[in-house]
Formats: sequence, C-alpha cells, structure tokens
Amino acid sequence: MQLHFAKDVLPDSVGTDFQNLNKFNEQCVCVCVCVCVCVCVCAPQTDRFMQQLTEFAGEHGLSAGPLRNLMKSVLLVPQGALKKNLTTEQVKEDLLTLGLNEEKAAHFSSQWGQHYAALSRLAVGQTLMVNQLVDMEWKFGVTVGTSEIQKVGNIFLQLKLVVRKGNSTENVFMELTLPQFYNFLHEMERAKASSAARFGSQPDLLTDAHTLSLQLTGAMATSRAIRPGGGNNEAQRDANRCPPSAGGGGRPNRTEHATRSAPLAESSSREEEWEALAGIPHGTGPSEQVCPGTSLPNRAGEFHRSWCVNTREEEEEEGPN
Amino acid sequence: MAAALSSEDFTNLQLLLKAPSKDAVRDVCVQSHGALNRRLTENTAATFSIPAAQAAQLVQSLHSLSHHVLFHNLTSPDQILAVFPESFHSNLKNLITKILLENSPAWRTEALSHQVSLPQLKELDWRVDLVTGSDSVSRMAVPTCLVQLKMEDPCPSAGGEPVSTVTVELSRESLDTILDGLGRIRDQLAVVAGK
Repeated sequence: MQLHFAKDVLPDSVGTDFQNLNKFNEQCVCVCVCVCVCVCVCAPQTDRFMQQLTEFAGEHGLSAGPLRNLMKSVLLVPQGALKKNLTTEQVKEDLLTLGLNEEKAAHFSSQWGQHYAALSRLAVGQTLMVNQLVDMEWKFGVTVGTSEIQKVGNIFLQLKLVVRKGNSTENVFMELTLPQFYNFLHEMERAKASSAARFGSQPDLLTDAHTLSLQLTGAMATSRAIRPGGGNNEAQRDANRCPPSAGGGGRPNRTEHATRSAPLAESSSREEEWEALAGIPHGTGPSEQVCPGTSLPNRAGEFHRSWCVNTREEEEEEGPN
Repeated sequence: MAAALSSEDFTNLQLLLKAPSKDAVRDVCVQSHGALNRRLTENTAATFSIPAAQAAQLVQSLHSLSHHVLFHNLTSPDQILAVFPESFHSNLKNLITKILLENSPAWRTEALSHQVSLPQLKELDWRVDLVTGSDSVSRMAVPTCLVQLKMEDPCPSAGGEPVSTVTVELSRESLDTILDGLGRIRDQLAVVAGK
C-alpha cells in the first residue's frame, strides 16, 4: 500500500478502523474530523481528547474503548499529512487507499484543506524552543546615592526576563547602564534586520527543497556584539553628570569623555540630553534609588501580554469545536 | 562608610611628618583607602619608624579621611583644606590635599563600579538561525534568534559564581515585541530628558 503520509507499513488494525469509519453516519464523521483537526497538534492535551471522545461516545451510543483506538488510527493521517506538508488531493488519495469511502474521504480532505494553514502555524509554533523568552519587565530610574558616595546621579535600567525552562519558568534579573541599554537596543535591531533581510517580512512556512537550500547557505548570521564599555568608563562619564547641589559638592572639573568601544552616535547625543537632568533629590543615607516618578509617564513597563504569543494563540485555537 | 572625622584623626595624621619622603606619604594614603590589613600596618610602621599601634591608627585615620572626601565629593582644594583644623601643619595639609585630589576620580569610579546592584550585563551575543524541520513539521523555514547574555554579579552570594550566562531563544514575534519595549524605554528616556 503506497501512502503519502507514511512511509512505514501500518498495522492491519488501521485498515480495519478505517473500514469501520465507513459505517459511521455523516454527522459522526463530521464530528470525528473536527475532533481530529483540533486535537492532532495538541499532543499534551490527551485529557481533553479523552473527555471529548467520551462525550462523543455517549451521545452516539458507542463504547469509549474501541472508539479511542479508532481515533488513534484516524489521527495518524492528519499528523502525517502535517509532517509531510501534503495537499488536499494527496490526503484524499491516502484515505481512499486506506479504505474510507469516497464521500467521507472527500469531506475529510476538504476539512483538511480548510484548516491546514492554521494547523501548520500551530505545529510550527510548537516547535522546540530552548529557554524560550516568555516575558520581559523593566524599570529605570536614577541612583541618588550610595554608602560610599553621597550624591551619584547615574541612570540605571533593570530588566527581568522570564525564561521557560521545561515546564517551569525562571526569572533572570539584570541591570544595565545607559550606554549598555543603547548597545542592547542596537544589537537587537541588528538581529531583527538580519532575520528580516534573509527571510523577508513574512516567513513562508513551506518552501521547496531548492529554495530551502539557497536559504541555508546564507542562513546563519551571527554577531559578536561589541562589549558594552567597561564599568570604569561609564561610571566616570556618569559621574561627570552629577548635578550641582546647594550644600557641598560642585561639578567636577573634568569634561573629557572616556572612549568606548561601541561608537553609537545615538547614545552620545542622549547623554548630552541627560546632562541637563536636574532636581535629583538628596540622598540621605545608604543606597537609595528613586525613580523620578513624577516626570515619567509610566514608571514601570509591563507587556507580558504581547509576549505570550505562542501560548495564547494555541489556547484560543484549542477551543472546543 | 564615611565615619566622621575627629581631632584624634588629625593628630594621627601628623605622624605623616615622620615620613622619609613624599612618595612614602603618597603610597600610604593610596593604600589606606582600600581594605585595611595587618601587612599595611606593618609596612607603615617600618617605613615611618613608628610603633605598630600608632601605624594602625594612622592608617585608620587616612582611611576615614579619604572616604570622607569621597562621600561628600570634595573636589576642589579649598573644600578639602577646609576639613583640616587651623593648627594642622600647613605643608603636610597641602600635600595630603594634593594626593587626595589626584586619586579621588579613580576612587569614585571604583566605588561606582562596586556599588550594590543587580547582576550587570557584561556581554551580549546573538545568532539568527533558520529552523528547517522539526518532529511535527518536517519541512519549514522559520527564523529564530538566540541571544546570549553574560552577567556579572558585583556582590555574589557565598559559594555563588559572579559570572553567569543565560541563553535565550526568541521567535520573530518575540524579537519584535522586545524591540517595541526597548523602543518605548528609549522614548520615555527621551521624554524625561526633554523635561
């Protein structure tokens, strides 16, 4: 038996199951197909699958056990078709080869054709991602003073990255100085430009082998990011920006800027803007950090909603059909 | 921490008059700024030919003075000279002031780089890959981005590593969203700077 969706020899039970499927009436088959279509990418959701099967069995007076086995066989087709990117005609041919009658095969394959794009997207979305970034939260502010230095005036940015490790998530916290932040932004823009340049604005989920091989030769773009300037240089520069205060320290006399390895034109003009920052409250004790809340429109940024693209889309797609 | 300076400290500082040379004064001033240890005291005692107890007090007073200057950001000669009492030896006062002024910027930078903070981002590397197949779809062309962040913790907990590395994978949508967020940060920074 030559099948498109599977190269291996299938057990006999599969053929039998498809013959049995012929005995179902039209409505049953429709529901079967719908269940198949929404379940075939939801491998971890076996509970839901079982629940729907049991309901289906109850409604139509069938026993759950044999029905489950039948569904397992039926599921082989869409799973294989998804894997091999089969067309509607190929799916129909396979169903006919397996012994399903013409009418049901046509129905099944037309359903396949309709939902194929969405299913592909879901399957791609389920592709293994290692340490997937789930969320990013940030806040930025000004360091007012420390236990060593009474008045500081450096800008800091704190990031919290939520990374998925297996079934749980891990939080990674880090702090960036202003030049480091601009460098980070710059590098992320380069990464995006690199992926957009190679793969276009809308990635094709399916390409033929020829196009694929062309893409592979230029596919790997890497970057050795310019190290953010060493702590000393930035701190010195930031120190120069310490604002004058009523009581003791005036501005330091140095005006030269330490050189950095990352020549970002953007950042130097930004720093000049920051030189004008005034009104930093006095620090009166050990390390105090104050977000200049009154002048900022939003103190902290949180947009984890837009992050959960893969998981949320899947949840919506999995809705009962 | 900057302890208040007392008259006793200035009495101790007068011990510097026993220094064999100006360089010796400079050395002991610079070394006293950091953590104090017995070796420093012993060396000072030997160099200045003073008892160890006095050397320890001298070093402690120098430490207090340099931290006081750093904490209050005293950057002009007049400001530092004003710290000393009237009766203090004039030339010694000028010498100490000069040494403190010379070293203050470096001390300040060092203090800032060691301040309390979350792990600092030290290095950022990225790579863009094309995923061509997976167990659920055997042919595909989906770009994905791997970002490696190296962070250094200035105050690691006991037994903890100061340098940690995190590698994170981003889909295209994630990368776009991250850029949106970073763009918003940049815009907010610009708004605040403009006010």
